[in-house]
Amino acid sequence: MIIRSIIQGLINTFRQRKLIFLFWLVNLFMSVLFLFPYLSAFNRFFPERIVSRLLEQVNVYTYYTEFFHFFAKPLQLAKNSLLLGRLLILIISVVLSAGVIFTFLQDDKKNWKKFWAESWQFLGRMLRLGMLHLFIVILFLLVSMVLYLPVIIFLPSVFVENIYFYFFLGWAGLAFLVVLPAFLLFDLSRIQLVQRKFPSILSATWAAVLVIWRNPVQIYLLYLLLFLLWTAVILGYWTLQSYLSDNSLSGILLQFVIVQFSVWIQYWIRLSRFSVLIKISGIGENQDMVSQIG
Amino acid sequence: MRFFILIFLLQLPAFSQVILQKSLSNRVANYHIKASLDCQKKMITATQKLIWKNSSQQAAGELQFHLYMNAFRNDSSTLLSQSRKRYPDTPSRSRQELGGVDIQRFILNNMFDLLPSMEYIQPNDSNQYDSTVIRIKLPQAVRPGEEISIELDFTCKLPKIIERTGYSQDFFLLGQWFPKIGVFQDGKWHCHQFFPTSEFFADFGNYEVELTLPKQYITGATGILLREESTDSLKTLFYQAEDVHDFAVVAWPKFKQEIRDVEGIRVTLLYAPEHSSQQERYMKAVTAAIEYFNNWLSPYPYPQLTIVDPPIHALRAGGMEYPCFITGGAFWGIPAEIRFFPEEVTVHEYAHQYFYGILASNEAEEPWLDEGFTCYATLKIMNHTYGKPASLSELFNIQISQLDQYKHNYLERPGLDIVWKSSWDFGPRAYGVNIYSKPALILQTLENFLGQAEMDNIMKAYYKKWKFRHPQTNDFLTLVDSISGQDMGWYFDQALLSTKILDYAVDSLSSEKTVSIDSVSGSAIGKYHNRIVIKRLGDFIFPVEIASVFENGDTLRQSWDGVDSLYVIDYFTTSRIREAQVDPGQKVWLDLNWSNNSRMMKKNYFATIRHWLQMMKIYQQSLLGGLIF
Repeated sequence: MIIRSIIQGLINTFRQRKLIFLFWLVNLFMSVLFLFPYLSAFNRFFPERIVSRLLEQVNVYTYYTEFFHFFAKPLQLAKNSLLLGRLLILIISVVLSAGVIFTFLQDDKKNWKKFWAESWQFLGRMLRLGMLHLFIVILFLLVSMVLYLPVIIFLPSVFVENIYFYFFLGWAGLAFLVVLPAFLLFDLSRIQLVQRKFPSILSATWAAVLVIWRNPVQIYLLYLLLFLLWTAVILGYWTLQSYLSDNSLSGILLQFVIVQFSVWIQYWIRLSRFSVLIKISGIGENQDMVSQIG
Repeated sequence: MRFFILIFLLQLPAFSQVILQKSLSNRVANYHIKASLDCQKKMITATQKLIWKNSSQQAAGELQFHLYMNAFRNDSSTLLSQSRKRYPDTPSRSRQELGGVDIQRFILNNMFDLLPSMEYIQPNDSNQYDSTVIRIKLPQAVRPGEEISIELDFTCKLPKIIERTGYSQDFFLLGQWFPKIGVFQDGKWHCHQFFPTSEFFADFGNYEVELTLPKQYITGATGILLREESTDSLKTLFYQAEDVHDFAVVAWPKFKQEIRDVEGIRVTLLYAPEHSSQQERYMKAVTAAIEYFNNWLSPYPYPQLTIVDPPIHALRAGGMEYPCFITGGAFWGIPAEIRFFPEEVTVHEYAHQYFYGILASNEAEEPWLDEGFTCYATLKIMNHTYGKPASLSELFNIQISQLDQYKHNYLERPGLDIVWKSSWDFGPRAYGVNIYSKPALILQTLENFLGQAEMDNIMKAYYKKWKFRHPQTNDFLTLVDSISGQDMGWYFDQALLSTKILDYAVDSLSSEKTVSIDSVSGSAIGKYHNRIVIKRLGDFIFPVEIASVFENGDTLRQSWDGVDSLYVIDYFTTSRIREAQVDPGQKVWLDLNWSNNSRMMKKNYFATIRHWLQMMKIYQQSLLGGLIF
C-alpha cells in the first residue's frame, strides 16, 4: 500500500513537472552564478599552460595546490557564495513550499498565479515554522544522544579506533532514525498550515502531531522508503558517472547532462513526498478532527 | 682522579656485555641508570651513575645538564608558554598530569656533594620560570681528556603524554626522562633550554639501564635486553646500548609484538592490538628504509631497532626518533592507498637514525641539518618504494607524492624565514617549512643540479667523514664544494641564508610570419619570427634550461643563467612555435610555481570547461542538499 502510494505520488508530482523544472532551474542558475569566480580563475590558469594537458592524464596534486594558492581570493569568494547559496536555497524551498502544497492539495492543473499568491500569503508563517523546526531537529538530535548514552556502559574502551568508529556509526544510525520524524513533522506541519490556514504555527504543528499519532508506522515507513529511493538514485548516478570518461568534450557534456537529470530526479522525489503525505495521512478525510484543534 | 674512576667502575654491577665489536664513537658520556617505574604514581625513582670525559681542548669549570621533564612542571616554562595553541589543555592539567625532575643527590667523584651549588639557568631566553637546564660549579676544572664520575639520585614525574613523552592511561613512553649532560665543545656548553621548536643534542656513550616495573608490562627500548629478573609482581629488565646519545623506553601491557630479522638487524615492532592489520605495512616500510640506507650511505651499525605503534589515546607519543628506537603512528581502517601513516612516518623516523642518531648534528642550533636531510632521505625512499607520482596517496584518483607535500608546505609560507638558524629563533609558523620541507627541496634541487651520482658521492662522504662526530652546516657545505669541484656558495647563500623566492615564468609567446628573399635563387622564403619572453619573478637566481617545441616537432633547448630579470629568445624558423617551457625536466624543485613555467600558442579551453563542469557537479549537488526541505 505504501509503495503504491509512493508510485501514485511520483506520478502526481510528474504531472506537476513545471514545479520540478522551477526548482531545478533555481539550482542551475545559482550554481552558474556562484561559479563565475571559478570560471574566471580556470580561464586564467589553464588555457595557455602545458599543465592543462598534463592534468587530462592524471590529477597531480602539486598543480592543484598551485592553482588554489595563486587564485585563493576568487576561490574564497566562490566558497563563501556557496554557503550563501545553500542558505538561500533552503529559504527558497521553505518559502515556496506553501505554493507546492497548495498545488498538490488542489490536484489540478498548475496555476502559477495561485502558486505565487499562496507562497506569498504563507511567507512569514513558513519562515517562522522553519525556525521552530530547526530547534525541533536539534532537540531530536539531543534525544538521540541521550538514548545512546547507555551504550557507553558496554564499551570496552572508546579509545580504540574501531570501537570509536562503530560507536559513532551506531549513533549516526540512531540519530537518523530519531531525527527523521522531526523532518516528517515539519512537512506535515507545512501541509496543515496551508490546508487549514492556521494563523498559528504551533496549531499547525500540533495538528501534524495528531496526524502522525493516528498513523505513525505508515508515515514513518513512507519517509524511510522515500529516503532509500533517493539513496538509490544517488548511487545509480555515481555508478553511471564512474563509467564515463572526462577526457573528451563529448564525455564531459554527457556527464553534465546526466548531472542535470540526477538533480531533476532528486527534486522529483523530494517534491513527491508532499503529494504522498497528503494522500497517505488522509488529511482530506480528517477535517473534522483537525478543525477542533487549537 | 683516575683512582676515583677505578673505584667508581668497580662499584658498577657487572651486567654489561660487549655488543659492538669495536667502539664507533668517542663515548664521552657513559650512563648507568637503575630506575623503578611506579605505574600508579607515574613516577620514576632512579640512581644514575655517569662517567663523563672532557673531549674538548679547553678545561670545563662547570657542568650543565638538561632536565627536559621540567618543561612540563608548569605552564610558564619556555616550552609550554610558547605552545599554548598546540597544547590548549595544559593550563587545565591537574597536578597528577604535570611532569618534572628532581635531583636529590649529586656526588662528584665519590667525594664532593655538589647539590648545594646546583642552579637553574636560562641560557636562551632568561625565562625565570624555565628550569630545563641546570649548572653545577665544579670545585676543580675538568682538564681536556680528563674523566669524572657523577652519581646522582633523581625522581622523574612523568606528564600526561606531551611532546612524545609521558603516560596515557597505562601506556608509558620514557623519553628525555633522566638528567642528561650537555655537550662541551670549543670551551663552551651547548646545553639549551627546551623549546617547542627544538629537539636534542648530546654526546655519544654507553648506556646500561636497569628498569623495574610491574610484570605484566611489555617493553621496548633503545638498547638490547640482556636479561630479565622477576619477582611476584615486578620484573627488572637489564638493557644495554653502545655508541648512542639517548635512551628511551616504552611500556604498555597491551602491546603485541612482531620480531623480524631485516638485513641482519633485529627489528621489533610493538603495536596496538587494533592495528594488527597495519603490521605488514610497518614492516614493509622499515625494510625498504633499511635496505635503501644500507645501499645509499652505509649499513645500519646497531644490532637492533624498536618500532613503537602507539594506541590512539597515546597518539602524542607517535612520530618520534630516539637512538635505535622510533615511534610511528597508524590508525585502524586507514586504506592502503593512503601512506602518510604508517609508511611515511616510519620511513621518516628511520631516516633520523642516520642524521639525528649517527651523524648527530646539533638539533637545537642547526635543526635543518637533521630534519632537512631526513626529509630529503624520506622523499627518496618513498619514491623508490611506492612509486614517485603517488608515493603518499592515490585515493580517489588524486596522486600525492612526497614532493607534492613538501611543495605544498613551501608554497604556503615561502619567504617567511631563512633556513640556517637556531631552532629557538624560529616562530612556530616558520619552523616547520624552513626545517622540514624547504631543506628537502633545496637538497633535491642540488641533486638535480649536480647529478644523482655526484650527490650520492657527497652524501656518502658526509656520512663517512662525520658519523658519530656532530657535523655542522659548514662541514657539509665544504664537502659539497670539494667533491663537486665548484664553489656552490652562490646557491647555499640564497637557499639557506635568504628568504629569496625562486620562480620562473614564460611571460609571453609570439610567432609572426616574415618573408625574406633568398640571395642565391631570388625566391621568397617564408619564415616565422618566434619570440619567447621568460621572466624571473623572484629574487633567487638559478640557471635554468628553456625548451621550445615547434609545430614540425623540432625541439630547441637553451640555457639561461637567470641573472637578469627578463630573457628574450628569438628564433627564425620555417615552423611556428607551438609551446615553450622553462625547466622542462622539472629539476628546480625550489621553483615556487611550476604551473607558470610554460606557455602554448594554441589555447586549450577544454581544460577550463572540464574543470568548471566538474565544479558544477559538486555545486549543484551541494546546493541540493539531501532529501529534506
